[in-house]
Amino acid sequence: MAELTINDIIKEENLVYKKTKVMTDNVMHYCPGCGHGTTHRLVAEVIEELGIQDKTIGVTPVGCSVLMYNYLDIDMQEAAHGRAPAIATAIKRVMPDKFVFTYQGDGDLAAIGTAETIHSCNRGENITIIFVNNGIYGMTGGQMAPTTLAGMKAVTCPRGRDVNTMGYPLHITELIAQLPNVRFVTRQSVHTPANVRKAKAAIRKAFENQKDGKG
Amino acid sequence: MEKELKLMKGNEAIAEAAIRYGADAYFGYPITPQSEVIEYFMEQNPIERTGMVVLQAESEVAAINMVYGAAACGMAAMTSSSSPGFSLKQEGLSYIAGAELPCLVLNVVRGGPGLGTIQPSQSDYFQSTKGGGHGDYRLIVLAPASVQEMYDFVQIGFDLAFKYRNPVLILSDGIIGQMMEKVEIGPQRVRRTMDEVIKQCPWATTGKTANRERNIITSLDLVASRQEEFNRKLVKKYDTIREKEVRCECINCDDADYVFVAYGTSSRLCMKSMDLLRKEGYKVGLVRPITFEDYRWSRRESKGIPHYRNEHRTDGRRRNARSKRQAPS
Repeated sequence: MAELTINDIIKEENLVYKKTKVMTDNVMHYCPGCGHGTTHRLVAEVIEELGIQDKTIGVTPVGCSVLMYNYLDIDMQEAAHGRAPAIATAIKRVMPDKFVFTYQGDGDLAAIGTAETIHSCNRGENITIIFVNNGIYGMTGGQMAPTTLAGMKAVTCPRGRDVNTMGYPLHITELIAQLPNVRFVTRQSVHTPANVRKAKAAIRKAFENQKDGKG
Repeated sequence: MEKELKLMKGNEAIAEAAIRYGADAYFGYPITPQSEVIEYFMEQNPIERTGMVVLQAESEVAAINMVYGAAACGMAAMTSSSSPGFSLKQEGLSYIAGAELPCLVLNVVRGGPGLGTIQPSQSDYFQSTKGGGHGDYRLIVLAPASVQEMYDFVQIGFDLAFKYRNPVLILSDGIIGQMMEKVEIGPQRVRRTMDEVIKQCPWATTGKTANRERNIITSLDLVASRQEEFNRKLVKKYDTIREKEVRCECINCDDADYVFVAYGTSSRLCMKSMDLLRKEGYKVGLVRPITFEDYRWSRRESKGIPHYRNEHRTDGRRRNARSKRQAPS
């Protein structure tokens, strides 16, 4: 039997995975090990699978993922810090047939943008909010975030987060889940292959809910 | 065709004007003395009348960012507030100016600083004309002196906003907002279809179709040289606006020894003073700036007469009314 060469393997029928066309070829600026790249890919794959590239408008935050619009091949708006849900509210209201999502970090969504987050959810806006929580302000250099764990060290709490003076990590997901107009809240992780799959299923469900008017 | 006349508050006139203009969205938050704007909108239910979206936001900050979101989709979007609330919108206005989005904002000015008073004032002049938020941008500012102008400036304002992709401010005050005057109402215009929006605003985030590159609305550029280039482009745009869009009303200026210079409510007071002084034989005139930021003063010998390079009279009806009242001197 002849030996297999690389060209024998690179064939259409052997293809098990390829980059979605909803992602651009731009080189990502994220640090090694960061989950943003994975999460971007999941969003892009869901958009491709649902066939909604021409109907999707994304809103990017202030934080590490501020440049997300360089990586996804869809129309996007860059929001002021914390205001993405207000912007997404307006986009969806003026174009109800579009799919609208925000992509926000913990500082953006649960500190400076708490009001916009809670009120857009309370109105039951038919949008998807993707909340990427790393428990720290990454882009500005490791300051304490609203979700920084009790006792965890950061450059603005070098002796660890003291819950008596700095408060407990804010459980924004649980807070949002209390609101009667919110249809679907879930917490997922992208640190193992199995969890990546679960996270993708969750993002897909969130987008499908928009289609059904239950965002 | 018979003219449609209505007795309206300034705050109501501006809302009706927006509906009739075919505006796509209004986002607001209550504050005295401009709450009638959103109340009138809600009462009229424009989603039924024209399909226009009206939403009470959780704050002025959210409202101006909703304007950003809608404007970035190519929509004719507006918000309104009064001084303390208008301060809260400055961040959003800076982003809107930086992303070069068209929108219309209304400030029904009240006295300040801080919470100040709910009485009318012209105190937000510098905030309005020098940018207000960070980053050295400029608004196009229109100052109405009557309820009719509150109505008329909606169309002028939106047209300028889309022409230059720049936020336009109607700088009113508590008197113009609250007082009732006769208003001539224009016909109802049909809102643009989505195809018309895309044709007019090919830059808007309306969904990336196969025939074009993706549209990104942002005010961010981390490359310093490109940001500088962009700022130069903005300066050029502001210069063009100064060159082409100056509006003012000059009354009795041709033979005047003295002129009042006043805008908005103050111009109404000066108008009366001018009439009284003319009856006493003083040759007094009035210059009423309607757009701000372009005073090329050239003093004539010993007489403080302003010289405008460019003069647009706004409104035939008002001008005729004035000319009849010119006192013989």
